[in-house]
Amino acid sequence: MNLGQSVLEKRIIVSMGPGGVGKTTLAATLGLQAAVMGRRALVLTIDPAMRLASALGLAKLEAGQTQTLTVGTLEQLSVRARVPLDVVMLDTGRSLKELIAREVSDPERRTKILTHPFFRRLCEDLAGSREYAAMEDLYHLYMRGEYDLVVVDTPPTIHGMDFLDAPDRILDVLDDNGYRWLMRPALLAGKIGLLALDFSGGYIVKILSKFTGLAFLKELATFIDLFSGLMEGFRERAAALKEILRSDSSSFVLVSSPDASQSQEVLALHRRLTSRDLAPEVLVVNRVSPAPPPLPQGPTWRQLLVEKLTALRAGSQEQVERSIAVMERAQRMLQMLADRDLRRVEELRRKLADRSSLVNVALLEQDVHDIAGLERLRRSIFDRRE
Amino acid sequence: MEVKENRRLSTIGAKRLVFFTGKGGVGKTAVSAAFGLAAARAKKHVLLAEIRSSGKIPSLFGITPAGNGPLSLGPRLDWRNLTPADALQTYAMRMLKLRSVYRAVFEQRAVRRFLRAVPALSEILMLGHLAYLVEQGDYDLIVTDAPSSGPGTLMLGAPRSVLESVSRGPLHDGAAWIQSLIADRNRCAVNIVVLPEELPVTESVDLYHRLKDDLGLPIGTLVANRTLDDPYDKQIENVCRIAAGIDIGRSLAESCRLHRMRLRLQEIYLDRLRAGIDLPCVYLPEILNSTGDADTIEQISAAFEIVFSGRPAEPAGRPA
Repeated sequence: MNLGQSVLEKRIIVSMGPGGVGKTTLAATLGLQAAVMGRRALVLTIDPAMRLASALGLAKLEAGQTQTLTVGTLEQLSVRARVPLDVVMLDTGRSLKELIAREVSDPERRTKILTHPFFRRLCEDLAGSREYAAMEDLYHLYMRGEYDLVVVDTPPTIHGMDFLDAPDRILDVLDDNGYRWLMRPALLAGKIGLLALDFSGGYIVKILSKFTGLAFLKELATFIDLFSGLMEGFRERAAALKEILRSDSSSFVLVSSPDASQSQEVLALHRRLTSRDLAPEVLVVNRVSPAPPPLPQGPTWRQLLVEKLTALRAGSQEQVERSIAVMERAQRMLQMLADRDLRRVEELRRKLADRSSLVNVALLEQDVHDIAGLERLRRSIFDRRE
Repeated sequence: MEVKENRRLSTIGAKRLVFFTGKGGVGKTAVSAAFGLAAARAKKHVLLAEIRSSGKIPSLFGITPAGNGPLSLGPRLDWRNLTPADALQTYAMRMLKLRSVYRAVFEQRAVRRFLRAVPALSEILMLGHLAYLVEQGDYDLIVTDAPSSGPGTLMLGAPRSVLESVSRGPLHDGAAWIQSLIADRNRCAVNIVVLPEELPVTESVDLYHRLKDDLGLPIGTLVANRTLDDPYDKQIENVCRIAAGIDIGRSLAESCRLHRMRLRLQEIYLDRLRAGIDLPCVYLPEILNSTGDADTIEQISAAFEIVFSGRPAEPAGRPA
């Protein structure tokens, strides 16, 4: 399956890859392509930096609030879209609060959770909570079905894997039977020290409290207790989303640049995704330097050029020769950049064999940081493939 | 101006702990490695530290590490990878002395999971490990290839957020101890690596203010990576223009146009960077004639010599 088909047929596309390769830009471009093809799409970014905002020229995009780029707006920017495009940046705090409001019916318990200092920290993007919130949002967006396609942008690789692992990890932490029998009694009894010589919960709590302080441990324990009984629903949703991501309705797109260390990371990510049945279908190599035009043929062109330029009073023979030398260096440098990129793309292609289709995206003459740039990128990806 | 900048730069070489952060993909790892190599060449005993990595720095030196180190990469140059688990063990062992006690407590599955719920604990532990290594004094300089902007800010801000939410106890004291090191401009500097491109520049300006204003950390230098030299003058421009009108000159003139477009973009972004961030800047060249990673690091490290030489040499690779 190629990128064009994915945009036409999938319901979820996840854009993953190392930092700085243009994941966000690609996600936005896929959203734009969907709008051009007439599919209602939402681009969801969970990156803390305001990348999507600046890529879309929406520097003031408010986290958690969906912005709609109407057909009219897009048309003014010379994008001929058939339907609007929505973009949103994940607001972890807001998503988690909505989650608690949905899942906790007892108002007293709800308040306790929402006002607990640990909950406030969770809302500030710690301990994978951002990724968890993104999973919850993605699940609900999918289930509500108001969009034909949701394009998810993820943080860089290490944390990109967190995007898939975070739900399990948070659920493990909040729903820990080991903790319940081992430490909970000691923490709730508050009689630390009585069981000091016994390798049991009391002992463990005592040692741990040396590190964190007892008050801190107790606070953590109360927090975990507040979530008891909620875990089943959390787990069901996480498992359901995993199934959705494995199914035909979802697609993973890996983004790389030709940079050597980044292609290493991409290969590692590819292996890890494949081992979970989440094989990425498309690898996009972004910012490939284009080759400069070739030098003229034949052995005498340089001599000829010097003569012609001197005749045209471009400068003295020496000046002209010096200038041509600089120009040749420029040509050589561009050629070296292009060759290096080509070599690395070929290496990626070889190492991935035929498992993914590969899309090269040329380095554009300007950086992509506005809709016009996205549109140029969109055309360079899709117009030649369709 | 240049002399003043160079003096500011040379103070960065005198720190005990430096971090390199920046937008993902700007080359933090290679820059950290090159900076460490330059310091080791200047007779400092250096540790290159990676955070939760797979050994990217040793592989730049052609070495595949078996574990998390410490591992020697060359004269006076060591490497290690910091992980929350190792950091916890180091910290716990310092307090507990007994390995059996450590095992009985910290290797319990339930305890490990429980600890994962502590916000910012991993970050605090790894920074604590760095602070401990600084205190031990085996190294003159520890160079840390820090996580990129977002996660990097979370890590460097972790002591502060713990101090804000925990008012007393060992966790509080540990965070205060770490904070006193990383906020000390005599011993520590956070450096920002950037590429002359739109998004890296925008993000770096934002990152700079978060690190400096919100977290109160001492910021060392900007490192503009992969910059191209500008060889053009009026004479060459004139020749290019005329060559564009001649059959056999057209392709060369077109190459120059493409080249100069890249240079123009680079200047726009570097101007924006210098306008947004009042810091000295080291300009590193784009390396094209490299025979491999080790050679690239070698070439980049030459640009850092100025930081350690203490003399106001020519600014490294600064584009015209």
